[in-house]
Amino acid sequence: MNPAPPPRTRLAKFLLYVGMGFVLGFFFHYLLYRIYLPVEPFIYVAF
Amino acid sequence: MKSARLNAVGLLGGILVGFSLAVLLGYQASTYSKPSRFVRFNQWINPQSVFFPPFRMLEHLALSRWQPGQTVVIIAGNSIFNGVSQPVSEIWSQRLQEILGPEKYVVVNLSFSGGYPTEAGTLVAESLIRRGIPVLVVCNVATGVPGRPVGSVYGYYYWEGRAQSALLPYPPRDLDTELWESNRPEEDRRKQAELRRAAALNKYLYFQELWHHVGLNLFFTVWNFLPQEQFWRPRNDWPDPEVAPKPVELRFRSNLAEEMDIVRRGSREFGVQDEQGRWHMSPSFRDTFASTIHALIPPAVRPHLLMVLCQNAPYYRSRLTPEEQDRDRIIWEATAALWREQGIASFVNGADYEDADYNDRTHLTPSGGRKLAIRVAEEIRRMQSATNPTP
Repeated sequence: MNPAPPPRTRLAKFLLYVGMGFVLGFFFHYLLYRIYLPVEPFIYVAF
Repeated sequence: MKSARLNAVGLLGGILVGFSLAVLLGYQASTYSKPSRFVRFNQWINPQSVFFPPFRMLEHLALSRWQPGQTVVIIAGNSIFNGVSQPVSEIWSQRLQEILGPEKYVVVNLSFSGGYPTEAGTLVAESLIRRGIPVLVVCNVATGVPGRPVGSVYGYYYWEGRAQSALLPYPPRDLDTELWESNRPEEDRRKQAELRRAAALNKYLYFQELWHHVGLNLFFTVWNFLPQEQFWRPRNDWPDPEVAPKPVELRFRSNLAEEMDIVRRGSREFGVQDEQGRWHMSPSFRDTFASTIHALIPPAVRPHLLMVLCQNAPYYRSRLTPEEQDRDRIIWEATAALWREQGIASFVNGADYEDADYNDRTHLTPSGGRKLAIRVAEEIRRMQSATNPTP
């Protein structure tokens, strides 16, 4: 029978998930910028 | 609560906090972010290198040096007014600021290579007019009708300005863009819908402001063929690349036939001859021009606009036949008159310039830029009294 994980480990794991979520939140915001970046090849003929 | 559920709550909470913090930082960036030592949108801070300055950044550029009692003079238009062929130390918009003086005027160059007079800087001016800030817009054009604010690479400014309620309400322009869009191929309609969606989301989420700010100051995340392997370098680190023009004897050498064709088309497509052989503006073009201006430029903006018709270099015009030269002169002047008929100040620039004032068919050297600045300053002072009596 495995002993129950000590509370500190559960807290650390929880905080790890919070941290991962935090990074993902920033990443999703960045994705919005990248998704809507109108990147396409174009050449100017300026006059 | 079970461990897995607790972790899921932690993950979702973290996403919410991270995303919200990014929005908050983007909002803050929208109030201060702008290119450092800004003089013009050079190739490192314009769409040529995948840098799409957001509408709010342009607004901030226009307002950051403005103080009550001053008039903002926005330079809009294309590469001619952007100062291509003029090193940053000799750019014409800086000369204009020197001539106008720092007390009453603040000049900001918001022109882009390939830009239309209905885009970017002119739309930012609308936002300033809405806020009651004295503003004048100087824009370069050629003969023909101006392009729409949507459809080009800078079309996102229209959608961003509209989403942020920064533009003046003007149903004829809304109708014109809707009609234009409905007649475009499916792919173009999809692209416009995407731009609209992006602008609507960015109004609240500020992702353009945050990540362009990061791209300016920390690192850039999109590869591009201009910086190539150094694409990650913050755009503020790149110097303005414009160099001094070639010696005059080395200019105007390439593509003479193509350039002459462009010069001829500048008047041929709009002129008709009467029975005595005199050239006039074609009546059908006159109607098209009037309806285009009505559709694209709100009446409240027109008194703030100065349209400068930038003539081609004398090297090319002197190679036209006498009849073509006659037609060229008449049509260019008639186009300026058409702008004035629509309540928009206008004049033809460059008709008396020398080859030394041009680096190619259209772009002005520093000497041409100095002449332009002197002439524009005269017009600005004249318009000032008519539109913004404060200074």
